[in-house]
Amino acid sequence: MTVYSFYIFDRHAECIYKRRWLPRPTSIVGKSNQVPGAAPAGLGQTVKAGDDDAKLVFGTVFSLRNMVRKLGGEEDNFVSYNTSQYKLHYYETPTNIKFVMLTDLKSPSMRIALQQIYINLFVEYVVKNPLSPVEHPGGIGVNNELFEESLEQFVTRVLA
Amino acid sequence: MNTSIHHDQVGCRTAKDINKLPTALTRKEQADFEHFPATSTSTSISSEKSTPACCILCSASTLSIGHAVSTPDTPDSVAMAVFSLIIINKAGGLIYQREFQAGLRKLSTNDYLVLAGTFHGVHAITRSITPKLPLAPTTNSPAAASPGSNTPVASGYSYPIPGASVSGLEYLETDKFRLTCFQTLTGTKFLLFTDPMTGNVDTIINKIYELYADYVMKNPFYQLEMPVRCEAFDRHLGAWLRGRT
Repeated sequence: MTVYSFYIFDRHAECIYKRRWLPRPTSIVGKSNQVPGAAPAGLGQTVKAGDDDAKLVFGTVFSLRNMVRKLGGEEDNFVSYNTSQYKLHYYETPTNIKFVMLTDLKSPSMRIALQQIYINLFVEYVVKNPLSPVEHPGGIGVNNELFEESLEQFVTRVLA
Repeated sequence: MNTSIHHDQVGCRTAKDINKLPTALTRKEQADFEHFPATSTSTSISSEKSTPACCILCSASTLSIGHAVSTPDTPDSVAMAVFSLIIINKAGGLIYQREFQAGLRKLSTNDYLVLAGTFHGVHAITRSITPKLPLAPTTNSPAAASPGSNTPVASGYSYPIPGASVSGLEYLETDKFRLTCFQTLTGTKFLLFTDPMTGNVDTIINKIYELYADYVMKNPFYQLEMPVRCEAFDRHLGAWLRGRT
């Protein structure tokens, strides 16, 4: 199973954390469908594309979540969707923090994994950190070494 | 399971067969259906209201729908809870909306139009946020070299599954329902809302497309991209879906 990217959005629709995993042998074990020896592309272009990506991802999950709520009732939850190329997993906390993960099609439901990231990593290292800002105006984002490190470990060891 | 085979027999009967049936059998069937668990009846009552029950057999077949919902593990994926169907034209306009079984909340016509338009946009975005995996500049991947594939060669990235075409949203899962989207080559989208446990949704959606082609597209009075008002389509769609459950 391959994780392509991971996003956290706060309740003001701001992307507060974004992480992309390039399919390099060192970062993700057991990746597939990729030519061996692939290297990261030019940095400038990647970052710019990623910036737009976060906004598009937010727009998508926001619209789909509202659509699902409208059809299934207030207590219905949007869980995931597939396209022919990837799968998007969604988890929203009661405080409206949204966790989004893009994986390959073979991955099982990642709802529990996203919940674990929230409970064991986000709450522990970001929410309980007295230096971490409560709101993230202007997209400062989660800038927390401990969180990033443990997320990296979680994705590469637990999910791979 | 005996019951599921029995359902099939009942479900396959068309309106013509009803006249040929001896009343004794019908009564026996009615008695059979009375033995169903109480959980199924609540669903069947609500669905009976929406579908016109013209005779015992029709109501019996709706009963079997209700039963199928409660036991999704019936063999050969007989359990088919199809909530509703929406058809969106290539411009994002709603051209058909029909509810088959209760299960989802009812929206106003305006809300359905908004939903169709929103979905049309989201579908395009889900396609554009497909992860792009960077390629080494010197690497000549076999997929990138193959003609006619969607993999861009110049910009140096490939899609996760290089051979497959890049599509928008195909399946959406929630706690309560599953949305399957089928887009035709001309851009028309069929949205089928089913129970999360329903199997063989692709078969259902292909058959619906077939019916659409036969009774909507071949209808000389149908204007392209306009709302579908074809009685034959409605009839065949309803009959076929009822026959499957």
